[in-house]
Amino acid sequence: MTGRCAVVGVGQTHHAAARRDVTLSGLVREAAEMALLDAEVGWGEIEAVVLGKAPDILEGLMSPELHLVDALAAAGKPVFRAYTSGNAGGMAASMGVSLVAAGVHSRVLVVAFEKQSEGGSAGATLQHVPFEARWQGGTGSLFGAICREYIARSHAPAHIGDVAALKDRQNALLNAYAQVRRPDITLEQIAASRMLWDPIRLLHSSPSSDGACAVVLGNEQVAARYDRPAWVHGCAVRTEPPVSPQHDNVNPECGRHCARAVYRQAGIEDPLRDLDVAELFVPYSWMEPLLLENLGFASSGQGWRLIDEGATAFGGVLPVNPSGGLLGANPIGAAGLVRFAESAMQVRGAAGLHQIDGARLAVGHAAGGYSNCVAMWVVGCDPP
Amino acid sequence: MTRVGVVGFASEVVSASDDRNDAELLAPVVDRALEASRVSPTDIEVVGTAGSEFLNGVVGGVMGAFDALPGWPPRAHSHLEADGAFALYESWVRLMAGEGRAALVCAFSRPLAHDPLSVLALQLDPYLVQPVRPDATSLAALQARALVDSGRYRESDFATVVTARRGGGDVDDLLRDPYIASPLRPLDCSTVCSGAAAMVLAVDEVAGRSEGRPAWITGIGHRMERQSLGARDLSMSPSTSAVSTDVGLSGSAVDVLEVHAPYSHQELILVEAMSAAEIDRLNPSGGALPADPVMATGLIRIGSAAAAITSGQAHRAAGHATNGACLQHNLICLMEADR
Amino acid sequence: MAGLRAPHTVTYSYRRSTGGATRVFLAGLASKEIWASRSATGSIEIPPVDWDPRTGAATEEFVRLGEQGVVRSWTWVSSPGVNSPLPQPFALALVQMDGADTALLHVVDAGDEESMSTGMVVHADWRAEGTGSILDIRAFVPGPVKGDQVPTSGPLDSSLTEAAGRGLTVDVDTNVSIPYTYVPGLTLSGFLLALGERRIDGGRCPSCSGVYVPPRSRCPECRIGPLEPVGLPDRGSIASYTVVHIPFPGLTMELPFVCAWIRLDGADVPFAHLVGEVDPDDVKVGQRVEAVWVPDRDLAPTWESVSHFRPTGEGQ
Repeated sequence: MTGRCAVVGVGQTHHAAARRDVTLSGLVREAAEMALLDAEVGWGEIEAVVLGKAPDILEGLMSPELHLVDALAAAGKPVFRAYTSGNAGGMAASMGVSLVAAGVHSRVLVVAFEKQSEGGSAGATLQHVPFEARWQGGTGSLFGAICREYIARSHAPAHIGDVAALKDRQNALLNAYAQVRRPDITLEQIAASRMLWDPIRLLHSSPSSDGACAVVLGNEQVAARYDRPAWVHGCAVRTEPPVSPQHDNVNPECGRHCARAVYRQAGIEDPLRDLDVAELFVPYSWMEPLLLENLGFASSGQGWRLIDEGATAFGGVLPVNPSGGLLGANPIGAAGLVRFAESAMQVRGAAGLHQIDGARLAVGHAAGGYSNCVAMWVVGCDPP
Repeated sequence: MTRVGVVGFASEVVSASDDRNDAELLAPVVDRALEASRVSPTDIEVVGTAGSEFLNGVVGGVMGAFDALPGWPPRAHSHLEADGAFALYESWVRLMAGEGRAALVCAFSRPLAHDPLSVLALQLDPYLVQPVRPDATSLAALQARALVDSGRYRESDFATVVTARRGGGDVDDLLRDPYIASPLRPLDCSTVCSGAAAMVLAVDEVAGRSEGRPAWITGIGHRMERQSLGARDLSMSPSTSAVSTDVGLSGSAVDVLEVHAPYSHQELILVEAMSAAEIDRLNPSGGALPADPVMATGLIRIGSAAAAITSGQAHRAAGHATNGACLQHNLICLMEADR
Repeated sequence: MAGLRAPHTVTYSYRRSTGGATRVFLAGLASKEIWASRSATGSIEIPPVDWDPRTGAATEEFVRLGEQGVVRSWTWVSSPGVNSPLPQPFALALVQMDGADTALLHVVDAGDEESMSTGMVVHADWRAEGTGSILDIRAFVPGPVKGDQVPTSGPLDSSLTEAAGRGLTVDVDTNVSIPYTYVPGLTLSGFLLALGERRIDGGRCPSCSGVYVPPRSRCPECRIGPLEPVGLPDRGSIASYTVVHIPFPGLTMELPFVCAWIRLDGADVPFAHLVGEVDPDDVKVGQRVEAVWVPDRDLAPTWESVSHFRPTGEGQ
């Protein structure tokens, strides 16, 4: 990175199974307005917009940025659509950071959204392709196999997925924006919930959500006007081929590579020790232990122990997903940006009831594709 | 101050009957671009790709194209549902931000929909416009009529563009063709096809290795207008005028200007909006009319302009790309060789 | 070698909820009312918007317009498609409603192209029963509106209340069916044709020797191609698996079923397929499996030529 970049405003919608009170425009506007309010800037001060979204087919609107330009007061401005895959929210943040770091813009609005209730998101991605087998189980099957393989390699005990899910679900109770908040949730309920793709159960899984998130990014001069901006200490994206002898779904090199790059930029030597909070892209709770290993918090086969010991709990040495993570809400294209935004809220002391005391350095992570696309950033309350 | 130059470009356009998939189409084009740039795949630290799942028909299917790219070890790769010109913009931004010393930008297009233009209609306002089911050509025709009504151009001017871009023909003969959507005639509309393009960008000293001289990017930018056609003066392109000023094209001379105009009348609107002081050659590649691999067309315009510089046929050149009905979103890349 | 191709129609359905200005506009249309928005600068916009597109400021108020306007631009659609709003040839036009500063995209049922001109006066012709759709205006038709131009309307809420009273949700449905031609490519075509001949062909990278099944045109790691064809046995080991307990669209077999990533002997990457003839509890990573082909008469260039894999019983 060349020029410095900081988060000076954050906004997100109240995520829900279906936001039937708004159009697509209304959904993105809600998050964007909140971010601008938080940043205390007017629409005229935003120079450029980066819009992140997962496959267009989830809403059936091609190039949605063309339609949303008015809602974002962006007519006459550069509006850029970021995508790649399910990590779209993180890719959007990354492009925003790059625009500021490159000195192209001094103040950028990054927005990501998904309004997937309007179509059957599973159905859209499961249309039968000629010559392929008709029984394809979809992305859930792939995650099930990945988690099962992790268990086989690490000998993680069966309750780990339940414990990780309980943690995220209890954390979500402290997050006013989370969609799924079950105050009476118990470990037994999770362990007894319906099996989907073994070992993934229903209560291990994220919901389908409508939601949007927005952040205002500023350069050094802009950030200087704020008491507590969240400075970007590192930001990187990595992709690798989804099918190749070296591609390991359980511990993909793209994740390791991305984490190393971000930690190097941020001067982090021991992520478990140096980071105060982690907001990770965990669509199924069984993914948490393997991500902890992939991103350098634990050595191979040991990620589950951090969960078992309570290290990633709200009061642990490295709270993971104090916001409730994806189990609280998963609007696909936005979920990655929500992780990035939540990490920024933490170091700004703006995370409300789910604030981790004394959080000064936090990591945000987003993943997509076939375990082959990832985006990360590290933010801190001090300038880098 | 970092300088980013285009150091290699290759493209191929094919008909819809071609049996190759995305990777098979893209790989040889990537090979040629890399070869010309003399940048090795391991030096490519940033990759930007563009395609369209909607036009292609398979969600996630675009990942198959990635076999054509340097994929290992993992690197920064951003994939867009947009024209390759926007992937170029992103890669340029990332190199300027210090994220790498060389980038590979690709676009691949196989509009396998039986009616690709009907797929583009899915870009329109889904609440109030899509239910009226307007097709892309009819919308472009509204703009063409607005242009004629403005008094600035006539249908014979459209026909003149057609003869220039499609390599011949007679204006009067063309004017005798029946309309496809008045005042547009079939040859006023681009011929949609499949294709692939690859471009290599490099910073400073890495750029100096290439076969041809680098086409240094001196300005690149984009702007979007409102979507509602009834809220715009369709005979003008204010976003293009603004971008032209942003990048330093307005009021200046260029040897080659490549304009992405899927309809003949749009070339007239765009060239006027850019208000270059002097254009030596306009769309020498033929532009989008004879061959329009949708979502690669804009990158091919910019690449063609760059190639004119790298091959020594031009000193200063610009390329343009557009997206959205009636030129809603416009990007210009201005390039120059060292003296 | 010619590649395979097959028709492939993709069908999408979306039910889009509305809110704000869009909802006001559509609910209004259901009551045969045309509403626009007025911005802080005084400009009247149709369709109405919630926020000034430039300044972002909230719309000041909604205003009701009459049913008459002027054609700002038009084109003739001489061959309406099956989904067109009108069955007979019509004009697609931008109609600037009287009192508005912008125009609405709609159709003009003019009869013939010669009747159309920029600047002509048209008025809305309504469908009998409105449902909250832009097509509640059946079409615009030539000529001024008859009778009173100035509407004597109730407050803005009236159309919304009436719409609610009639149980209109004012959703917008998008139903799309897009025919494509699917082209798997030359390399995959070769693989599929081999499946139709009861063979599994992989591809080996001449550089790293990685064997891919199905083969690819370039090695994803080395970028080198073509890959050398290599025939593979139809047996291998389970690399990973899951047991699927929930149905999905198009499910034909019984739940639960085993979905596994299988690495054939000699291959360096796995592919996904079904594992059958085994209790899901008895499946293990590393288990030896073999392909079960469909009867010869059902073989075809498709993955479905292999019905499923089953344990061989080796190494138990």
